[in-house]
Amino acid sequence: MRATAGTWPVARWGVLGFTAIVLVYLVIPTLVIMPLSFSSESFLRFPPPGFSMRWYEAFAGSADYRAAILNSIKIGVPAASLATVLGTLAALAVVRGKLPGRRLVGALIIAPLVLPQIILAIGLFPVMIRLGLIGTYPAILLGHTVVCMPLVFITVSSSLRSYAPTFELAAMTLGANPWNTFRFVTLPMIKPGVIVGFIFAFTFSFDELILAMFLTSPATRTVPRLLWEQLNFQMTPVIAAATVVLLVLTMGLLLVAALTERHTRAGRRTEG
Amino acid sequence: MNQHLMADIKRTAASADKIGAIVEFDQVAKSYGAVCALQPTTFQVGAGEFFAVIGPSGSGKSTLLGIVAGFVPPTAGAIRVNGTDVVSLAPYKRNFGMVFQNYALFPHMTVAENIAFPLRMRGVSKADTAERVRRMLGMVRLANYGERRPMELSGGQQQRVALARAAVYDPLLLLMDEPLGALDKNLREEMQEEIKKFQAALGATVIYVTHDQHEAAFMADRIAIMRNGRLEQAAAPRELYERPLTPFVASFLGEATLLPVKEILSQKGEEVVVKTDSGLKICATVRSIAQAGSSICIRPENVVLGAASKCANSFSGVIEEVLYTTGSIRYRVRLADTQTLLTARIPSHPDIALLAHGERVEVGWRRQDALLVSGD
Amino acid sequence: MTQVVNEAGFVPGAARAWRKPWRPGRGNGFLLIAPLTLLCALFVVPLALVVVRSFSGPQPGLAQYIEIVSNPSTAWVVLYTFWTALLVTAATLLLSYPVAFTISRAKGRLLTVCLAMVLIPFWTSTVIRTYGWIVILQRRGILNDILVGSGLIDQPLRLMNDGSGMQIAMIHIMLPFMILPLLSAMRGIDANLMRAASVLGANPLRQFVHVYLPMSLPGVSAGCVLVFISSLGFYITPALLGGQRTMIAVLIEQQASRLLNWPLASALATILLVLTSALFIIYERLMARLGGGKPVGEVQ
Ligand SMILES: Nc1ncnc2c1ncn2[C@@H]1O[C@H](COP(=O)(O)OP(=O)(O)O)[C@@H](O)[C@H]1O
Ligand SMILES: [Mg+2]
Repeated sequence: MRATAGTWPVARWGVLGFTAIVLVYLVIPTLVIMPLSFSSESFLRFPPPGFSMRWYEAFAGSADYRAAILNSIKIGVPAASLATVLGTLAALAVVRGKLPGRRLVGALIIAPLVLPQIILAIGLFPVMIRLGLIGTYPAILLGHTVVCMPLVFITVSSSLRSYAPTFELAAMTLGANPWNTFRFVTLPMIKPGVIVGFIFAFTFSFDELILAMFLTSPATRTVPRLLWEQLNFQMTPVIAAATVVLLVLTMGLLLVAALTERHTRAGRRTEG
Repeated sequence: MNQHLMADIKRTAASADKIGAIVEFDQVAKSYGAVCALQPTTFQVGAGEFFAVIGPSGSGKSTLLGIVAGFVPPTAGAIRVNGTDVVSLAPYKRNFGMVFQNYALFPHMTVAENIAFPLRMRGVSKADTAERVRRMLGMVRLANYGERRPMELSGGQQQRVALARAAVYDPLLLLMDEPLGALDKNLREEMQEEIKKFQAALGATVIYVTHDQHEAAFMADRIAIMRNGRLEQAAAPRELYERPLTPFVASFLGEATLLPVKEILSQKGEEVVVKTDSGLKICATVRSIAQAGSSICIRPENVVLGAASKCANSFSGVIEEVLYTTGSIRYRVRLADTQTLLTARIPSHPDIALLAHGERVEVGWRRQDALLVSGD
Repeated sequence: MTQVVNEAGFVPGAARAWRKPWRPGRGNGFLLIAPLTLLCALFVVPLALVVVRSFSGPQPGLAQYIEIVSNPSTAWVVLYTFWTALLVTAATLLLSYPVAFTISRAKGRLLTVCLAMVLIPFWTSTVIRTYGWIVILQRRGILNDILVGSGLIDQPLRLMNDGSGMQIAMIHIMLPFMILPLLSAMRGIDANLMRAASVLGANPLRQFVHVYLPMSLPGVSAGCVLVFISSLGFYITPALLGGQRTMIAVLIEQQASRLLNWPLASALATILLVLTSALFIIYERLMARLGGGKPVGEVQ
């Protein structure tokens, strides 16, 4: 033991240093974009030769970006809403229900999130053509609903698992039928999970590229598709500016989600 | 609890105009796959009766209560409440009140909203609801707590809210699953009295699950003792204590020395003479036909120390352990057969000299204090 | 059993017609109708059609698969995808394990900062992060500026052509998917166990190998499956940073939308589908057997 006494602190500091390096590696690509967005020049040089707001102005004045953001919202909000309703229903059935094969159903519902989107994209494309929906809002909206539903399913399921079903049993003995039990007891209890699920779903839809590439048209083009086209076409710091704006928006939304979760966790002791 | 209060309760009970439900259990059974949680069980709970169910953990008490409440579907049998089988009814149509061990108060509603919930579900008018909630809060001495959240109350207060919520709609049957299990001892004793009073005022029939024998003996009109999913005996507390049917009942309720019986030497009516495994010859009392494989049960307070010669059973022994507990002295006496360890308890008194460890002593007990109980 | 006859003289009634008892959660299956309908119409059926289409084309049957295997360039893409996914999985595991370990022990502000550093990239869109890597790794990017500027190399590295840039970015993008499951497994490990092991005389290395590592294995397998599956289907990063090196998803997209060779694209997609589904199913089984394991998605 004595011989090794000196090595373990070294190992501990080694692990800490290694962790720090990996964490820096994790945030660097995001950090690099920020200064770039304030660059005074149009080439991607680092460090930027000077400071300017011109790329933010260009972003704000771009009709393309404005249309794309509007499209993303028009698609994301209904898709996330639909996914929230359906994902919540599925979670209720799988977690609280007594049906056989619950695990299988759960796996099937999560599958669209796990399987590569490219497969679903080339699967949905011909279907949407056949339905005459390709390039329309319903096409991409439905596609996003399918891949967002698992996110809501996951958050609502874990909300449901976080408390014993005693509350629902109590409501029933007190005279609440299943609908009233859901409305007055289950729904208030899982509300944070539902809200967080909605935010995750919206964020996911707002970021999704591959389905958007196949299912949208220039008229229904979303933000990621626009960024993608710009990346492949010309790389000016206006992308960096757009990226920073979107990043701030996304992080804001997720902060709301995190606070919602923490707030309820602090306010409710879990029932034994 | 003092006598005065007890009398008070009896009087209220007698004057209550509401009469609780009669509950009949008819061959009710439940198994989870191969695990039998409740063997076919038949008994009846009378109108307005306070019926306690006790037994060790895992003996099927909660299962029994869950079947009555409606969230554990039985595998066989019927439960008739005032003559109607309720097994196929959903819990929300049964109209029973239930108090859960952790109270299950809705955390997102205030105390008043919690109590109003069952009335809301029954479409009671707003004004009527407010009035009944107010009266209920007064009854459980929480008049000024209506606007609080359950989490802001102490354990005892939460428990009273749960009671008020389960009783506000005047159910004919109140079910309670270890309602005091989460409270500390002093609070528990206080709540025991309060629940008794409460029930008397309501007139409801109560089925009350607990693992605490003192609580059950104190509160209940009758107690059922469960073991391994089986109802061993159901009777008034005094009868259970004085006339246990099985060794398990004898040792679960109160303290008892149990001596396994080897053979029955003679039986004449209730009088029986047996020989124990350790070779002692004992005169005992039996309530039914004496069987092999039974035991002799002797309560510690019935054992006479010293001048024991006038008892039907008298032996010499050695004091092996002396234990002073408030108000009484507990001796463990090794009998001459060297195998039997007898527990004796005598009231403590300044005039009585304590027997010392190792001291020789005569012990004895009357024939009617040695009960022959059958079964394992 | 002990028959109990009480004072009231209640005699058990003759067994009446057995009525079905009410069961909690019996009707809950109805809740699945809408979600499963959507899933069938927009997930199961489209994927089934992909599989069907992969056997169609000018010469029906296995023609597309034979084409994929026999054409060196497509066969190479499939193998390269596999290799990259393996490499990325192994690298992320090696990088993540110490990080997750440190975070699982961290408290207070340090914990918040570390978690934020993991979660911010996790929730940043892949397009944005890949863009950041382009800025860093391109021929006249930050990395080459630093390396050439400091005189370490004379010629800028061509990281965006030989696949290494793509791998660096993919590892980066996959790190949170490994760290989070590891973290949730490590949080569940009782520190007292390690203390007990050290009291019993195990040195830190043995404690780690015999106690800690086995207990963190559920997290390791969850993370590896998640990263491997995601890496197999990666599109954005290979498309932007891969240069000449292409992965399956990019090839599928090219075949479908540029060359309009839908049968071939479908066959490639079917291969990807079968591989990922098989992994997903194996994982689910594994978790079910380990007992109480969380399904793949439940790592957030
Ligand atoms: N949902 C269940 N699944 C399987 N076995 C159960 C379930 N609920 C209870 N049991 C079993 O039934 C028996 C009785 O349990 P219970 O009624 O809760 O006992 P008690 O309340 O007396 O402690 C126990 O052996 C328990 O393991
Ligand atoms: Mg219990």
